[in-house]
Amino acid sequence: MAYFGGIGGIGGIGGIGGIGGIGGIGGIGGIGGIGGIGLNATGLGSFVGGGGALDSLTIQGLQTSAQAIGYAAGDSATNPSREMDFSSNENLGKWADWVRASLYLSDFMSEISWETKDGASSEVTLSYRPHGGGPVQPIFSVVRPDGSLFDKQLDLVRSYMDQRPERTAEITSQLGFPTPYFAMILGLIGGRNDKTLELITLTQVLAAHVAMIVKHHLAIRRPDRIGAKILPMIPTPAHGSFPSAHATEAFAVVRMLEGLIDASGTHYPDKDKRKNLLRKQAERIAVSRTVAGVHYPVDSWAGALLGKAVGEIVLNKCGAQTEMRGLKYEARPDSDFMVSHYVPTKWDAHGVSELQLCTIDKSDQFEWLWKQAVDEYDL
Amino acid sequence: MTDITSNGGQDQAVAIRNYLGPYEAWNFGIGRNYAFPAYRSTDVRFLTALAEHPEPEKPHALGDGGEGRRGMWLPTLWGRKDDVSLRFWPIVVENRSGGAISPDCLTINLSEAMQPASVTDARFRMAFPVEETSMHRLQSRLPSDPDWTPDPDVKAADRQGRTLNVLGVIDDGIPFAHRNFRAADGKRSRLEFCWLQSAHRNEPQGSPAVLFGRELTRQDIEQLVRDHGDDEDALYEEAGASDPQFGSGAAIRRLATHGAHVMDIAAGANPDKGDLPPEETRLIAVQLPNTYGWDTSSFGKDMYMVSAVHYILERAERIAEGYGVSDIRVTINISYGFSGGRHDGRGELEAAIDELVETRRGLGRPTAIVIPSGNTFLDRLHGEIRAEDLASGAHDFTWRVQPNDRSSNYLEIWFPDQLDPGDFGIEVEGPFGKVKAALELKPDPSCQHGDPRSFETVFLGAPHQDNAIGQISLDNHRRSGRWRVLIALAPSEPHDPGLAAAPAGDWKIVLKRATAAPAGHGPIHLWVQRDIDLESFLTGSRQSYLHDEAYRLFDDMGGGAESDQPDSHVKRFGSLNGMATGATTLVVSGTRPGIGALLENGEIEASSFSSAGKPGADAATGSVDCTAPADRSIISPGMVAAGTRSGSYAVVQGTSVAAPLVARRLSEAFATCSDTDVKNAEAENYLPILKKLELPGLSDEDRARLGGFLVI
Repeated sequence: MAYFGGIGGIGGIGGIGGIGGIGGIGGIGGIGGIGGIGLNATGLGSFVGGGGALDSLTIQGLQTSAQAIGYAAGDSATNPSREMDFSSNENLGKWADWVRASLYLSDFMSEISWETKDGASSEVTLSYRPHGGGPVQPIFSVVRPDGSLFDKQLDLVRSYMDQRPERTAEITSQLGFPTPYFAMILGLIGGRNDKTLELITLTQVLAAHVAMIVKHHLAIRRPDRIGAKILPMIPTPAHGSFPSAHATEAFAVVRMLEGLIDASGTHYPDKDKRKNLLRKQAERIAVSRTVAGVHYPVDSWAGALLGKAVGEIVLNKCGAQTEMRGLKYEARPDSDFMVSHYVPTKWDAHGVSELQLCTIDKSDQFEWLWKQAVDEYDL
Repeated sequence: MTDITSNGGQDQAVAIRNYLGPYEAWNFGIGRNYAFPAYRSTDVRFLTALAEHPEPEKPHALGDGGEGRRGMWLPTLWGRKDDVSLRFWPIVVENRSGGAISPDCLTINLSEAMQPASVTDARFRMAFPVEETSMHRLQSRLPSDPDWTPDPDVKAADRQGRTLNVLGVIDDGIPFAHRNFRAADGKRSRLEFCWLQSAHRNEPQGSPAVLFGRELTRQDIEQLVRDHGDDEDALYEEAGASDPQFGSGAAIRRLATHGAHVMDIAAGANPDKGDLPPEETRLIAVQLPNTYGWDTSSFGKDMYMVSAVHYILERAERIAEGYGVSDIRVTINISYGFSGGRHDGRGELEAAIDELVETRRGLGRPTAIVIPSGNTFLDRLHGEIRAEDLASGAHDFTWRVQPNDRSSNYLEIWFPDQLDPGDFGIEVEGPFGKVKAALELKPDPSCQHGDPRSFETVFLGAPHQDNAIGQISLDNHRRSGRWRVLIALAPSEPHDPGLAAAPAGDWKIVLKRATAAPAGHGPIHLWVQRDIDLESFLTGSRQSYLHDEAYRLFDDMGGGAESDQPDSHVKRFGSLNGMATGATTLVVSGTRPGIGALLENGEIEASSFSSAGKPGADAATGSVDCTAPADRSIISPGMVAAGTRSGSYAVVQGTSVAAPLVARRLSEAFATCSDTDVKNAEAENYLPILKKLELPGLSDEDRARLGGFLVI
C-alpha cells in the first residue's frame, strides 16, 4: 500500500527545492503521509515527470481502439457543458493531491520572508507577513553559533554512538518522513484518515522547506566533517547540519497534531497521553539522528523550535486559533536535547528566549483541508 | 607535588617499584599505552583501591582523609556502630604525582595516603579511577548520614507474620524508577536506597552521603516519579543516571540493560500481570560504573564492588532501625563474574566479601550473597596440566589470540597450594616463532617489599626487538600463599596503529619442570581471563582461548559436546566464575527444560554455556549450589524480563539471569522462615530454606553443573 511505500512526492520535491539527501535516498523513506490516495502524493515530482503517463503499449492500444470505435459517437455536434466555479475551494477536492500540495506550499511560503544579519554575531530571522498586508512579524530567529561550540558538541554526539545497534531499524526507516511513527500513536490509516495524513505530509513539506532556508544561510558543517570518529551509519545529507530538518518536521507535525487532537472532540478518551507520546516520539526521531551521527544535539534544539513555529502557523492558517510567539535561539555548547526541557522557562537554560506575539491569518485552502481532517474524528 | 615525590619518598618509591600486582604493573606500566582510555589519560586524579591489611583494622586507624589532606578517602562503610574490624577496606586515593599514572606514582600516592602505617604492610589492588565530576573531594572522614525516613505505610502495615528483609542488587544500568519496583499504588517506591556510583555529583557538594556519585533515597525516587513519571528519559537525566562517564554513554539510555533485567527477576512486580509487590522486601540498588566500556577483563572493579556491599549492608541497618526490625536479613545479588582468579575462595574480592558477610553473620544477622556460576563452559578458557603431563620435563600448550583484538589478553597459570615453582620455568613463543621470552619461576631478590614476584618483558623479534608487547610475571600472595604466572599480551590490533601489536595466532606456552622438582604435585590450572564486550560498547575486545586438537567441539551424534575429553588438557569443568568460589556465596548455574519436558517436574538440562566446577567430591575449583532457568528452551534462548523503561521487555541470556531468581526466592524465605530455621541454614549459605526441587540421581557431571537443586 502506498502509505508505507513508494518514492512518493518527496523525491519530486527534492527535485525542486532540494530536500537534498532525502531525495537522493529516494525510495527508502517515501512520503508516506498522503498515502492511501496513491503515489505521487505531494508530487511535484510527477508534475515534472508528466505523471500519469501510461506504458507505451497501452498508448498504442488506445490509439487503435479509438480508430476502431470512434465512429459510434456519431456526428461532431457538441452538447452544452457546465463550468466549474471560479476561484473556489470547493474545487480543491477535485484536484490531484500533488496539486493541492503545490497550492499549500505556495500559499505558505508567500507569507514567509527571511533576513540575514552578518557581523560579530550572525543571525537568520524568519518572519511572517499576511497576504492581506500588515506588519512583518519575526517567528524564529537563530544566532549562528561559533565553530568551537560544535567542536564541544562532538563529545555528546559520540556518547550516543553506542545506541546505533538498537536504533538501526528506526534510523533507516526514518530517512524520509517518519509518518508511520506518528500514525501508530493515533491509529491513523489510509482510506479512513486520508486528510489527516495529507495534513501531516503538508506540514512536513512546509517544515522541510523552511528548514532548508535556515540551514542554507547558517551553513554549519556536519559532525562527520569536523570529527573523524563520528563515522555516521547513514549517508550524511548534502545540506547544513543546523537546524535539523528531521527535528523541524517532527516537532511541526506534533504541534499540528496537538491542535487536531484538541479539535477531535471526544474521539480519543486519553488526549493528554497521546500528546505525550507524540512529543516523546518526536524527541526520539530527533535524537536518533544524533545517534546515527549526522546531527549535533543543538541541531535538534534549533529544529524543534523552528518546527513549533511552523506547526503553529499551520494551525492558525487552518483556522484553529493558537497563540503563537516568536522564539529566538542562541545555542549553548553543553546543551543536550530532551523534550522535558523543551518547554517555556526550562528552555531558557538552553538559550531560548521569547519574541513578540504573532498574528497569523486564516487561509481558505488550509481551512478546507482542516475541516475534512477534523471530520475524520466525528465519533 | 608534595615532599614525598621530590626527596626520600622517591627513593622509597623506586625501592618498592612494581610493588603492585601484575595486572597493575601491566595496565599502569609497560602496557599502559594499550590500556583502556581511563588509564591512559594523563589527568586521572582519583583512583579506587582495595587495601588488604595483615590484621583487622578499624576505619579510624586507616589514616585521616579529612579534607583529603593525605589524599585518601573512605566510602560509606558498614559496621561503624558495631565497631567492627576488617582486613579489607575500600579506599580512594589521590594521584598527586602531577602526571600520568605509573607504578611508581601509584606507590607514592599510596605511601602518602596510608601514613603513618607503612604502605608495605598492607597489600593493595589498584583499580579504576573515579571521575573528577563524580568525586566528593571535600567530604570529611566518612560520608554523612542519608536524609531518609521509613515509609509510613509499610511501617504501619500488618505484615501478617512476614519478616521485613532487605534485597540488594549490584549491577549496571539499573532503572530504579521502573514501575515494577514500586508499590501497588504505582507511587511509593519499594527501593529505599539507590547509589549511582558514577553519576556526576550534586552541586554544591554540601555533606554528601556517598563518597562518589549520587545517592537516591526512597523519597528522592518518589519525587522523581511525581515530577517525571511520564518521561523516564527526563527522570534518569535529572537523577544523574544518564551522565556520560569518561566519554561513553550511560547504559540506562538504552532500551534494555543487564541491570534492568536482573533487578526485575530479583524484585520486579509487574502490574500488567497482576503481580502483588512483596512490600516486606525492601530494596537497595547499587549501579556500578559503566565499566564494561572501560575494561573487558574485570581488572579494576574490586573497590567499586566491595564498597557496594558495604553500602548495602550499612543502609540495611538503617532500614532495620527505621522499621524496628532486629538483625535484619539481607540478600545481595551480584550477577557478575570473570574467568580468571585462583578459584579457591581466597581471591581478594572473594575474601573481602566473605570477611564482611562472616562478620555480619557473627553478629547474628543473616546475610546472603548470590552469584552466578558463569557463562564460559564452552569457551575453552580453562585448562589443567597434571603432574604426569610434565614427566618429560616439559609440557606445551597453545593459547590462541584473535586478530583485530583491541584489548590486552591475559593467561593465568595457578600452581597448586603449597607448591613452590622454583624449579619450574615458562617459555613463550609467538606465532611463526617471531617472539620468544622466558621466565624462571623464582622471585626476583631485588623486589624487597610486597609480594615475592618477578617480571620479564616480552619483546617483538628482530628487527622490532625494542618493542615491548607483553609481560610474563610470577607472583605469590604473601599471606594466603598461592603462586601464579600471568602472561599479559598487548592487543593484536592496538587502537593506535603506531603502537606495536602482539601477533595474532597460536602462542606456544611451554611449562618446564626440572628433575629436582617434586613430581607428585596436584594439577596446575590455566584460566584465560575474560575479554568480552558485553553490550557493544565499542571496546573491540575479542576473546582469546586455549586451543587443543584433542578437544572435541562436537560429539558423535553431531551435537555440541558438553563432556571433557580425558586426553585434552582444555577443560569445560572448572570454568566456574572466578568470584564464585568464596565460602559465603550461594552459586547458581543456568538451566532450561529438557526437550518436551516440564521444568516443574525437574526435567532439565544445564544451559550449554553454564559454567561448572570439577565433577566429583573434590571441589578444588569451586562448585555450583543450585540451578535456575536461564533459557526458556533449547530453541528459545534467554529469559524475558523488564527493559529499562516501564512496560518494556527484553530477552537476556546467561547465568546472570538465573542467580536473581534464587535471590528472590531467598528473600521470600527470609520473609517467612523462623530465626532458628534461618540460623540452621547459615552454614550452607541458606540453601536449606530455599523453596526448591531436589534433582535426584544426577551423574557427577550433572551434579557439578546443576548443583542438585532446581529453583523456579
